[in-house]
Amino acid sequence: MKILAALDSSRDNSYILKEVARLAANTWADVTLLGIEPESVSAQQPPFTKMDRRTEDHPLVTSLRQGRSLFLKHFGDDGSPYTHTTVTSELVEVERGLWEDLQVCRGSIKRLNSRLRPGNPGRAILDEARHSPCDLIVVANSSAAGGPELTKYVKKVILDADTSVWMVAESKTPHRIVACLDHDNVSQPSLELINQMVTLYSADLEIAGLTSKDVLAGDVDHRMAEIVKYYAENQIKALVRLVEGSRLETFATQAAHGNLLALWMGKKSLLSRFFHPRAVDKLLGVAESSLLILR
Amino acid sequence: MIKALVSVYPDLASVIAMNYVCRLSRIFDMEIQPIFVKELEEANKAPAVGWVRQTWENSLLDVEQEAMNKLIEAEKTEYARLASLQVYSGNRQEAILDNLLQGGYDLFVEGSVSRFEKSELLRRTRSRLYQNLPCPAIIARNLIDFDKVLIVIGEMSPAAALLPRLTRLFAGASLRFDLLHCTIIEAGPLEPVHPQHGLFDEADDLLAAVGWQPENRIALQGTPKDLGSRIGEYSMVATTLPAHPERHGGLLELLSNTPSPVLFCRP
Repeated sequence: MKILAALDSSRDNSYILKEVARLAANTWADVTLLGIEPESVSAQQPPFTKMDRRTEDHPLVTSLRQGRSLFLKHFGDDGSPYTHTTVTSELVEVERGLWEDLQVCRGSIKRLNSRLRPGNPGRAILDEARHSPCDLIVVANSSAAGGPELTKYVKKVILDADTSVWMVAESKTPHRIVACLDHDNVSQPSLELINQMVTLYSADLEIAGLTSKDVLAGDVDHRMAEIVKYYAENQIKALVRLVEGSRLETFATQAAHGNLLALWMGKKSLLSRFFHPRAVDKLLGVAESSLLILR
Repeated sequence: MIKALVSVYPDLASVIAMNYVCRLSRIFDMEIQPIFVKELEEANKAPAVGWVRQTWENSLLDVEQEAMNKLIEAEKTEYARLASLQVYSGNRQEAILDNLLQGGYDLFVEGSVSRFEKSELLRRTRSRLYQNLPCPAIIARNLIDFDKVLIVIGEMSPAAALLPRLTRLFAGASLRFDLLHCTIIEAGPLEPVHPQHGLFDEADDLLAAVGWQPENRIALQGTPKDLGSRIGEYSMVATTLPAHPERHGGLLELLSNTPSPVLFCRP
């Protein structure tokens, strides 16, 4: 698994790093921490692009380095898959009858990259995701601290990214993962990601099928049956329910409260209505919990 | 041994029903008979009449039957007493009623995906099938491992009507259960009712006679929604099947607000 976590230098990233580290610890993921500039850079702060790039005290650099330390701190000194410090002796036969006791410095088992992409944050995240393809992009829920102005870049990432996106909110642990589905295009990695979330939070799982005029489409019904069987085989209790499409916004807004709302997005998905400017602000405005967009 | 008839169809609800009843058979000695009733297509959906229509209907039936056989085979690997699918065509409710009566079944099981709306349970319980059921029925709404049952009694579900049917169905089994006496109100807070007025006396006598002992006795008063939310997730919620469901909207609304499978016993 490959995770791309966007760290906004103007915000407290500790909670996002904690959640990414927990997920990475469970999945042994390759992780890229991406330093991005805030959407509105204050007048006092010179943009990174205009500075001497060797400087070490630019807020963007400081924030990224702090982020890396915080991430690594989660794993401790021993047994971290991201540190490079293991030195061992290995006896290697260099030629017939001649052995050399080599001091071997092993690289980390998994990759941890720290990168900066100054400029428009939405574009920066998408460019990085294209440059180094990943399975999950992690961003902060903009309503947690910054207000509606950050919604723009979060929305851009959600709408334009080809991979799943996890908007992490600084809040209590979700009690339930509520996953909404209205199409049959569900990938195995997205099911496994839900598994990870269930494990990570010891949460219950509820799968909501979206109906149109009280009818659940045949292909969605079939897919939900497969999903239910999959989770049953994996010893994960998954409750199911149906929600009428016209009541989706109300349901999702309520479900987001205290839970992790997961939306399986399809090209013609009803769920895309959330990402109209008004609806997304409404949803994020009350989402003290996180939101997971699955692709 | 409990002889159960399970209604199946190639859909999510049937996956839940089949899997749930098979989980039940781990706890109770059961014989499970799946049944599929193919209802005749409406005339305007058929592409033609006569032989063409017959052929079209047969091919549809083959596809559905194959899907259900796969479902049953998947469960069969784990549960030995799962009979092969019985297939009928015609009116579903009539065919199931005939089978229940002639086959001497102890239990009817079907699936339903919860909408958390009273209308769904109201529609079912008012149907000819439910109003003429010769045995208890389970509406399986979720796959919940069988652990603990909630038995709901009260004015709308008298203990004297429910418990004899229930104890007969699960006779000889050791059942973990809580007993809930609920008083449904239209408005007001959810609050406990002190059971000093012998709320559980009749139930206790009936249960003691068969050696059953509830783990908890709970007496609550509240709106259906509050009560439903408070009940939480039990492996099964058992109650009486109202003879006039429209007069017991509160009970049905309460049941609609829980994700648990519901066991209805006719008084």
